[in-house]
Amino acid sequence: MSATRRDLLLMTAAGAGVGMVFTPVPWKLLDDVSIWTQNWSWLPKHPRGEITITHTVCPLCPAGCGMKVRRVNEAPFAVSSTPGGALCARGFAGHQLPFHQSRLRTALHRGKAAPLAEALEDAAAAVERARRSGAVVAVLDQRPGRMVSVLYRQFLAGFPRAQYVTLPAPEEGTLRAVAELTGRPPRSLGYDFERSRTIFSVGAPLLDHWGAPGRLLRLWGAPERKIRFWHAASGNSRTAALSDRWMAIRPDSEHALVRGLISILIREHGAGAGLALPASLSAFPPEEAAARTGVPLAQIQELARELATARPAVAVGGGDPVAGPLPAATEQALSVLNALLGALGTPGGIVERRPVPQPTLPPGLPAETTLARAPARSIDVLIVDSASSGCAWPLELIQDKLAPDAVTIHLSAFRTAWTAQATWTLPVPAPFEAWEEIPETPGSRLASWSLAKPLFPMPEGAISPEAVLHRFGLPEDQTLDALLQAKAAAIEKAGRGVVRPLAEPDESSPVGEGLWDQLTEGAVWVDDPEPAPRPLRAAIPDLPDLPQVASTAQFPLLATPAGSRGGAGSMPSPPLASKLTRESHLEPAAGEVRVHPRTAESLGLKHRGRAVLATPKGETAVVVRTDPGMADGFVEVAIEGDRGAETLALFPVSRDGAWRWSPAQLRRA
Amino acid sequence: MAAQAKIPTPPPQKQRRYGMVIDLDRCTGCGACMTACAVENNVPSGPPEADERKGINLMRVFTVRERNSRRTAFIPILCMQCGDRTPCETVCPQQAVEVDPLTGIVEQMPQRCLGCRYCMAACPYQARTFNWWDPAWPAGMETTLNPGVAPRMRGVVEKCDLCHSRLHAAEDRAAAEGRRDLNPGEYVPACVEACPTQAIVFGDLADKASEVSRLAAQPESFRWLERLGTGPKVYYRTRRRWVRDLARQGGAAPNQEVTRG
Repeated sequence: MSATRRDLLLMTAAGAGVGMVFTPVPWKLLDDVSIWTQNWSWLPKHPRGEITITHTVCPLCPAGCGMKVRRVNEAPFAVSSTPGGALCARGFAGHQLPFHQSRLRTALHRGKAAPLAEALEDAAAAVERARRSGAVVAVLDQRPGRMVSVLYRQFLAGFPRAQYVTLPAPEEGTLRAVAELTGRPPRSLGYDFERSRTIFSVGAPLLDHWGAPGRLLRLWGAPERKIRFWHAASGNSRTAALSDRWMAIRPDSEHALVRGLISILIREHGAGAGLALPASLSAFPPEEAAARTGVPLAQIQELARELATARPAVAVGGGDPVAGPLPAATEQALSVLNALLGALGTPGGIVERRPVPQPTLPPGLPAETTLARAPARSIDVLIVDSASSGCAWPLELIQDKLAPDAVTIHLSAFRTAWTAQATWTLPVPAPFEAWEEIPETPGSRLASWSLAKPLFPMPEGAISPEAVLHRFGLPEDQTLDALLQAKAAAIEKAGRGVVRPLAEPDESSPVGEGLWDQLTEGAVWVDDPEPAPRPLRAAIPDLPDLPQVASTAQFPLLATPAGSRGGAGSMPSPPLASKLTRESHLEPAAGEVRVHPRTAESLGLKHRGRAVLATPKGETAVVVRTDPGMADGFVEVAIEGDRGAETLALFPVSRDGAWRWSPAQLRRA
Repeated sequence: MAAQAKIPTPPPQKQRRYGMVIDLDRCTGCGACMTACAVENNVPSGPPEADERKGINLMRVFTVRERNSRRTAFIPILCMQCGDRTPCETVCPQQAVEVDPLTGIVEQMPQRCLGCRYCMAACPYQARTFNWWDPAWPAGMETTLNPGVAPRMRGVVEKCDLCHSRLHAAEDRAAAEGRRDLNPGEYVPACVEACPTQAIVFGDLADKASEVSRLAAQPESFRWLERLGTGPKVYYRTRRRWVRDLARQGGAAPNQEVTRG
């Protein structure tokens, strides 16, 4: 037998084939290639350096929750709540906001990049022209009550015609109605929830980022708690899920429910015996309330019985950070309901909040007006402050107040739907890049004051609101620092309250000298509680009836905006909020609507299917999510992210500034 | 020759079984645990295509509804730290999953992971996620990354490791103080710290005197899919029977789709 060249080649090939299977080389190569292609040099590495801890408060919304910040090389990398605090989900990622992709690095002129010096020059010239011509100059402030708010009013005092306009926090809605009923100034009242036994919320997300989130969650989660939470709303929200009782009322029937409760309380429980009550209050038939709300009469009677017997009881309206305020007539009815419950100026109800000691201010500062009450087409030059309340507002609310050819100057750290429409946008420091002041949380019964520390240096190209005001003509000797220090001195002089270090809130000390240093180092000033609340006297007015929004043949559904505080508005959400929205659907995600599976089926729509949402004001493309927790015939429209303002524009704004409901149509795309 | 000095052998570290009890009656579904977890573990927000299937959530809160009712519960799902026949460990061809015998923590080693995703298929809790994209943050945001946790590369699977970097940091601190063992509460994962209602109690299940052991032993406590016999170290508790039934039936049917990867 002889081996041929053919045999040799065959043996080599076969040997190579067998060898390939047993050698580790190709497998190792595959392994290495898979690893090499995953480890690129440009992937970010984590920072190295000394780790330090800072205590401060969160500046993202008016709640001002305490934060313990871990920092590396002075840059924050993680935050957690201070003892006893309760940061919200967005607060945990808020320190990443200065790097948001919509962060402004330059000024804008009608939405297009412009050099800051040029934009500032042109905007200052427009303000100066308004001053000379006697045009109306206004400042829109979403967080009134700060010292920078005083600075704005000092600036406006230099104009012959000026308006200081605010967008009240949703927590303040019922309190404002009660303040009007009792003749108190706005923002002078608060809820004494800690001593309540029954809390009845009407469309207010009490257990979802309402006021200071930790306050109500502590009460709700207290072991063996005695407070009962009742919630009346159409949407299956977190508050609905967590309340002891949820009354799933029909859309826009809050007014009828409150009128029905008032009637039952007067008729069956003798409420308001010592008050002069208009006859119409008890004339409202409870059956009408049951018919309009879709809730059995027995359940409304049960609620009325509990409100009448499990006292102190308090009714809370005000509205929602996204769905907006309740109609003014409903707030008025809620204030009457509180009066009948004996909740005005009594422990566990709505009580007066002592005003914070203030420095002496010059006379002639313009008074505060809410945006809804500002005359239509009255503002010639509008300056919009950068601080956000975390709430979404339709642009229409502002546009209606602007005169034709009005100039708008937006102070903003981010590119938003608002800045796209502004004449000039001036880039200001983002949250955590400058000192920010946090006055008392809306709805709180005690005054408080704290300062949020900057965790990053202010970037080049940004300008502080104070510097903008000085460029616009505010005298140089009027500064924010002087106002803040004067306020600290006024509190020291009054000798009221305690100072709570954020690191050790239990180690509070009475106010003494050095308050300013304590605040800047990380502490909160909290006022002393009143020993006994002062009763608030109210003249009970007649209540107008309020027609409900109705569906039509063309728009057979009822739609409402849905979302969470901080999800849309004048400031974007931290990038990691995507975990809450599109990655988990814990909160409504941009471009989505939620409907009951039956509603979807009747319209030929599928879960995750594409559709068009139409209202009398326009239409938009959406993705449908079915949710058995929704009411049939009802659409929740997500207001979130960049598309939030565009979607919110589909909801009509009523004369009193409410945009909660719209008839709607949903069809397959 | 002089006798060599004998190096004293340190006493062995205490055997631990880290676990947690999540009180579903106290969970408000706020998502603070999810965000705090992502920040702590340098999880990026992902591109716009990152959705409930492809986004990285080491901890995810599901919303569940009672059948034929509008009653709602929120259920945080994370790696259950299975202690017996750990499914993901069993199927991993790369030995990238390992149960730490000292702590009971199921460790994931991204350096070893080939991205075959067998472990994802094997995990009955769908508590693992795959990195579909290179980890990326907007310019400058990398300065805010946690220095204790390395970002994971594209193409690997990851999951909750009970904030292992926090355990290391706590052990380092204890060692610096001359202690071998950690004090209760010295090491807690970020989600536990973040919960505004203290719905999550964390600790050593091997320590019978610990709060977590006491709660885990109570009759209203249960484990998800207990019938599979994987020995999870994450317990849940609720007084709501319909929620307990969900876990018992095993067909826990969150109203959202749970398939990822």
